[in-house]
Amino acid sequence: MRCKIPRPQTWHAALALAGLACVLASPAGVLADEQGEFVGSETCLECHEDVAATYGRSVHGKLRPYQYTGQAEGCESCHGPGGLHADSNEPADIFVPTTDLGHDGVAACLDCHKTGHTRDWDTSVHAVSDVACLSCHQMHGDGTRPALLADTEEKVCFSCHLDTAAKFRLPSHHPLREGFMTCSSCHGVHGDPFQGIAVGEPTREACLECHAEHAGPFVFEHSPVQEDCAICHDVHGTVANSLLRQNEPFLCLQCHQPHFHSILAGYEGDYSPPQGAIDQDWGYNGLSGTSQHDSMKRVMLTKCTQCHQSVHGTDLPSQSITGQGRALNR
Amino acid sequence: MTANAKEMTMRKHTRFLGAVVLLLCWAATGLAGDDESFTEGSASVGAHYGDFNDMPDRVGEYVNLDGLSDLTADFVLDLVGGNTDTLYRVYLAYTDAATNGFEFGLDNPGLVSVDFGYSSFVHNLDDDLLTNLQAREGVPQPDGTFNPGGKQIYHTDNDPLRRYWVEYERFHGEVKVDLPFLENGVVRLGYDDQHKQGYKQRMTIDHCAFCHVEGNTVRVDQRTKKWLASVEGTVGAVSANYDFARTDFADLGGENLHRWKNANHPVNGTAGAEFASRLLFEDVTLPYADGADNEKLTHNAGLKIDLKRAGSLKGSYTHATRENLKTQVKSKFDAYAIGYAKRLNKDMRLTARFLAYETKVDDYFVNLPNFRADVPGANNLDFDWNRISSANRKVYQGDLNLGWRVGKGRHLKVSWRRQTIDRDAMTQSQTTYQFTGLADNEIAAYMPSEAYANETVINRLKLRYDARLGLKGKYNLAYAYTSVDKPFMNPTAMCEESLAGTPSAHVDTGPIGRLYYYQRARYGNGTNQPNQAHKVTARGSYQLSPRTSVSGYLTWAKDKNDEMNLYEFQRDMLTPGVNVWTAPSDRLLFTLGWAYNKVESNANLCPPFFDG
Repeated sequence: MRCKIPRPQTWHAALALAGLACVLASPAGVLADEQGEFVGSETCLECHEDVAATYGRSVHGKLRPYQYTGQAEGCESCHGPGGLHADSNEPADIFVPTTDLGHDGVAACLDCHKTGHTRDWDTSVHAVSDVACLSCHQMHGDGTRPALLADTEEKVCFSCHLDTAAKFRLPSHHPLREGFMTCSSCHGVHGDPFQGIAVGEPTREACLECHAEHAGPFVFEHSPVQEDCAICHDVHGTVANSLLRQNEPFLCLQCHQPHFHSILAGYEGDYSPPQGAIDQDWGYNGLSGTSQHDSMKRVMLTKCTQCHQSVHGTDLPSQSITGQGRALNR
Repeated sequence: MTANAKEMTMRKHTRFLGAVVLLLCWAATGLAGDDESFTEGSASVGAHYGDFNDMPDRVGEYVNLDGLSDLTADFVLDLVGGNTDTLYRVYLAYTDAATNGFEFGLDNPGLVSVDFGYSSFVHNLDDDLLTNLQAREGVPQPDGTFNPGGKQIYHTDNDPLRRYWVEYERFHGEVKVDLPFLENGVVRLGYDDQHKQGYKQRMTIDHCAFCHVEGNTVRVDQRTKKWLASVEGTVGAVSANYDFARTDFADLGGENLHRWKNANHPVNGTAGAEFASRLLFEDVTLPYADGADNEKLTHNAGLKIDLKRAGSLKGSYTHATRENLKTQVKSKFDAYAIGYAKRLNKDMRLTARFLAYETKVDDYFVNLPNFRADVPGANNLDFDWNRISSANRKVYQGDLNLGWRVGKGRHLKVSWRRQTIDRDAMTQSQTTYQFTGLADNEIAAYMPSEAYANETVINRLKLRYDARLGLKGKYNLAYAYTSVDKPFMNPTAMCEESLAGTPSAHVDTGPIGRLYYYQRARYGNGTNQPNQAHKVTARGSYQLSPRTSVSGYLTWAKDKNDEMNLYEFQRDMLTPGVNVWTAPSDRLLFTLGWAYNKVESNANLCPPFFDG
């Protein structure tokens, strides 16, 4: 199947003048003299049947004239004039961004993709790490994958980030390998003023995109929640539940001391509330327990959030006045 | 399955099937008739069966357990197609009533594109049996035995053996309209709707009576709606954008109420009034697990200038506000970012970024009743305090990155970052009592012993080397060193000041008055944040044959904090892994992976002795 490259329409010609300033910087513009005349995509696709088979199905094969920033359209918008190459059939006579410029072939893409997701590409971590557009995307892709990705987003990212991929195999993980989110749900893979996080604000805001119930701002805070979620959570995956870096109470005890009750000895035997308390209808009727020598430790050194439930913050004061309402257990 | 859950499932079934029918009908007929129309794709049909016991959330966190033990059909359909001007994509995935989704995209390049999708999955949550919460104090006797003491802990699970889960649904849509009269001119309108429904366990605790922890079932019904609008375009060498977003979060789960019981002294049960005077509330029904509805508005404006050979320069400004709609507490965020990128020569690229932002949350005055206000002879200590948010901060960050292609297939990257964080209050974890009528030395025993600097300075150096292994392999080595001056910590985490020599005359010694009802000052630092961190990463892959490849990685990290006043924090991490991929034929693929994850860290266990 041969692709039809749309021809310019008259009213678009005037609009194209607005982009003239960019023309000089485009590969097509620079190479116009060296590679002969523009011959149009139809000429290219007569020989390049493999590209012709899919090019028309891709988003690049359906661009309108006013979407081109240079003086050429179709194949020649990236490869420059094809006249010389069409006559000689010599590969050296055509400009191939990735071959001729290597990583800098990215410039051919950025000539059009100046805005949107790729706005911050120039200063991105990927850009300075020699990652190019074609590391993840297929320019001549057939459009069967979104954004012309070479594979699924997960596979593309994990082909380099092997250690992160392994973390998603740990018992507690975000539902990425289940297919309910992708790396770009949180990361701005094309760059961002912040630290590779998508939302353009500090890391915590990326988490709050889905966990808005922890946003507050609350009256009673837990300061690491305001500082950085990653102080307690390893978001790619952990052995401990709830993506915690360590199990409770160990994680909590890195910043807090336990209650003094944890060193009390336990009584050995069954117990129940005093009759006086039961008689006064304090709601303790029917309670009973069995205590052992280390029971106080099991109570106080197992899981802090059994009592301190609102570790992400709350507006409701806790019960004790001397605790000034900030025990985070309501 | 509860009636509510069944209703949710039916609703989702109807919604999903409706979408399937509509999208398939559209795909079959919408673009037909065009000479260049095409449709291709794949469909897979299967079935699944499973079973579970014990705590399935630990191994099947996102598996819908309802109907899991029934053989259930599932399918995936992925279609792409188009005609001369238009492309479309339909993706449908159905695992079960609660686990399914679809994506639909329609792109008419240069004019308009529409994307929307829906997904739903289940997140299983813990059911804490609370069985560790039973104990009674033992009072040591001279003969080595223990008599029953006054402190008792009980637990009640009000909904025993309940399975807890949340169904997460998300719908998102975006319309993009191209502006033909403007280079890269695009207007985007987007909508994102997240809905979480289900049940979770929440505990309540009556303390300063018999300690009684109750497990309760709480309904989850949370909705987050987000609207987005943006416009961008390029004129000459200048590209500009403006983005707006509004996010509304609403907790629709209803009020959860608990009756806090009468105050009851753990040892002297008749001293109820004495205990009540030390509590904010008792013998009253109050809400708990209350969600905070909030609203966020974000504005972002950016400018990018293409300086041709001189590189590119960009800047952006972000202003965001968020308001807690129940308390009217507001936060404000302002950020300025500047970035510069330049190719120094054919092989070297330099980027520099500077970022400055400020977050400010309203102060909140917490007005509390005086301690033991109703007790005769009490000195009416005032426990009011002003909450200064630990979110308040000014942050300045600079990054310099140099990428250098040192040879064919070899690349070196050097990165340096400096960040300063200036907080209003790193933490207010320690109480800040306001004593009246006391000498300074008397107050000192109750106040934080050492003010901790709220400014953190981070310096980070990263080196990374990438290279090819012949034509069939590649590897990279990376090293990062981070030095932090005064990392985030709880400066008064542990170790109470000694009572020795503390005057006690000012402490009310009413009927039951004792020092131990106060929280005394602590002086020991505690954190899991390092002041020095080393991280080494090695990754590599090699193609053994056209049909077999192997890849591996090793991450070693060593964090330590030797700035704390009591102990040295250490965290060591080692995570190696190997993956093998082989495809004996075009239709058969095996992957085998091994991963090891070890993290070892320490903490200072510093429980206070009971001194009452």
